[in-house]
Amino acid sequence: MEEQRYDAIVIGAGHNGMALATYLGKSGWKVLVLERRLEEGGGLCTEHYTRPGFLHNLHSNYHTFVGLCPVYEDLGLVGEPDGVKYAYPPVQMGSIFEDGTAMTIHTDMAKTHASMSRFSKKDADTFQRLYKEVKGFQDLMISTLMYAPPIDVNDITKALSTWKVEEKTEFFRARLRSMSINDFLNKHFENEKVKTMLAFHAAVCGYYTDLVGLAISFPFMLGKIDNWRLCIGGSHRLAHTLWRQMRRNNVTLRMASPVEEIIVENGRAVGVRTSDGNEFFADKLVASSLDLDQTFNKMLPTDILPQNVKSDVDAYEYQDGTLFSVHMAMHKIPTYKAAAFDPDINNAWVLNMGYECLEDFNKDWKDIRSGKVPEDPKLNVAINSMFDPTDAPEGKATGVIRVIAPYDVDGKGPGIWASNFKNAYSNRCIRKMEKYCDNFTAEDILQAKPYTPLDISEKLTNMKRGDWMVGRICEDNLMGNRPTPLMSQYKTPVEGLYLCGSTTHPHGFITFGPGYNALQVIADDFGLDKWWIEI
Amino acid sequence: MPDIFSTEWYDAMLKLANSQDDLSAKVPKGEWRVAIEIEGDGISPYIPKGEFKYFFVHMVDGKIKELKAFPEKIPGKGLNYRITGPASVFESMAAGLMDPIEKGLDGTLSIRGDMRLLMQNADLANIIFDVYKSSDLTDWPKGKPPYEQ
Repeated sequence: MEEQRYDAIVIGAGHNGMALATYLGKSGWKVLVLERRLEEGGGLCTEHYTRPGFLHNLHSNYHTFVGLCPVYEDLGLVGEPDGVKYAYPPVQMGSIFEDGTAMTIHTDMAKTHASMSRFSKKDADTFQRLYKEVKGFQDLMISTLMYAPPIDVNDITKALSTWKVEEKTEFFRARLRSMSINDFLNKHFENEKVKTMLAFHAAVCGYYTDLVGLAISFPFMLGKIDNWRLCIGGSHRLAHTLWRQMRRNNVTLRMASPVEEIIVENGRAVGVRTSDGNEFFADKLVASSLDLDQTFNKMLPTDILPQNVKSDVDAYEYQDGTLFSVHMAMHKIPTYKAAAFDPDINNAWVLNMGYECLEDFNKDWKDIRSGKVPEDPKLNVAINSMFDPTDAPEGKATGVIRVIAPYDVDGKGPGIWASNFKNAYSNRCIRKMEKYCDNFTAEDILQAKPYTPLDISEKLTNMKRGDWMVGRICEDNLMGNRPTPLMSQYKTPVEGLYLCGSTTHPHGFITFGPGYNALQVIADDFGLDKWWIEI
Repeated sequence: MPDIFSTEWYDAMLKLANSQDDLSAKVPKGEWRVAIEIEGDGISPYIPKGEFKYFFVHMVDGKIKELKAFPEKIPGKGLNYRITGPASVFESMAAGLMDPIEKGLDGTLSIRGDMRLLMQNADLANIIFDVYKSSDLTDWPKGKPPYEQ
């Protein structure tokens, strides 16, 4: 048996765990990261999933915090000398509608305005004002509300009131806390297709448009509607870059080392035991980037947690829906009939094919909550090869169709996703996509391979029930309520045990927020020099 | 009366701020270091276009210990906040013609630093701005906002 001592042990080599470990390593600590799987990265997962030579991002595909998140710069994750490269598609998003029209969101907001104006000049003007307003305070709010341990939402609303923010802005209101995204869209916009385009953006970001309270986040979300980026060579490149930075900074990464138990002595987390019987000890702390269930129910001795905390852990809720994906190796890049209306749609990356109105989203949310797979799939299509030709052999292309779907189906658990149903549903998605294309049919696909909600939860156990946000996105589970009020500051009732994964604020997605925020708390607790903060 | 942004003006501002009991009472205990960067914007007569004035505020337990000009950009290490904006805007705020919150919200003023503390002590920000708005600290020898553009 091997016994080794470290300053800190991080459980899980997802992007949050690796980022935290790298910061601590750069601060001079001796750090160990233990990962269950054979490779690092968690949701930064890219594989030759369909055929050799075709790279598919099985989980994270859209990186929307590049340029906003401090971790990229602090840890040298982007650009020279050996950071990742991102594609930044000029036509970021698009919606193709059944009547042959299309709307496009561009990095050039004047073009976005022009596209929206074809549907409603009034809405295009409203969006322009909203976007401009949000951009004014976006940096401030993102640094405060995402890249800092959360404060009480009541403190935020009180500050907004004291500063009379409502008199000084058109869209930012404390009462958004009692509104859904649908409410917000219906209040400010008139055209159903404009509303649909903006609601689609929220849905892809993991925000359900009918949930009361989520409107408070929506303006900020719209401020980054033009920040969809694609990691060249696959999302896993970012994980490789993190690994390189860990190695440079005295961090040890052990793959295939699932933690079986967090060792607690005298009420303090002092180390971990892995499934092969090895024990590793941490003089300062253990940080878990795993979800609550794994951290507290599976790794801690049963008598450690106070009953009220255990109840909170057991009651922790996950998102109603997850994703069903169809990964495609293709002979060519599709083009669309709606290009006759708006040629830019052929160059758009994140595409909506199927949502026509807000009610379509409502119906999907309702279906998913009752365990029904949407009969008529509404597609989110992305053809990555348009912006990253390295992800497919020359002359070929990769693409993905995603559909929001339930994990448990018809009250019978997720088993259906292991059956032939997944292939049938995959074909249904492809047929749906064909309807929008003018040059593309199933014949143009070398191979299509589904990736189901069950696959997600089996590959990445952190994403329980296939939940890539690792916890429900709702008012009761955001900011200082996430994952519970007691643990919202990244500390647990067990001394020396911290949380640093997507189950904590802000949430899943490649935000790096949980790892970065846990770092701030750890730095305060241990008196670390915050070399990464330069105002 | 001193010119705005002159040493005498800083001294007068320091005395005024330290005379405000409610400011002293509401600033959280501890040390706060703030860098203010004012950029000549071609509108202000006090700072040539493209040039910067930097000043540094050091507060300890609610009192300003230091308020002084810096010859160059103040290093970010150890700062709590950095506020950057066009000179004419700072001057208009000092003259009470512009609202700092509004200018922060629309991005004209860039505020870097941990806003959580300001949010948790929201009325503190209002008091600080009220002090800054005390336009009688200068008689505006080169002209007073609003400026004609």
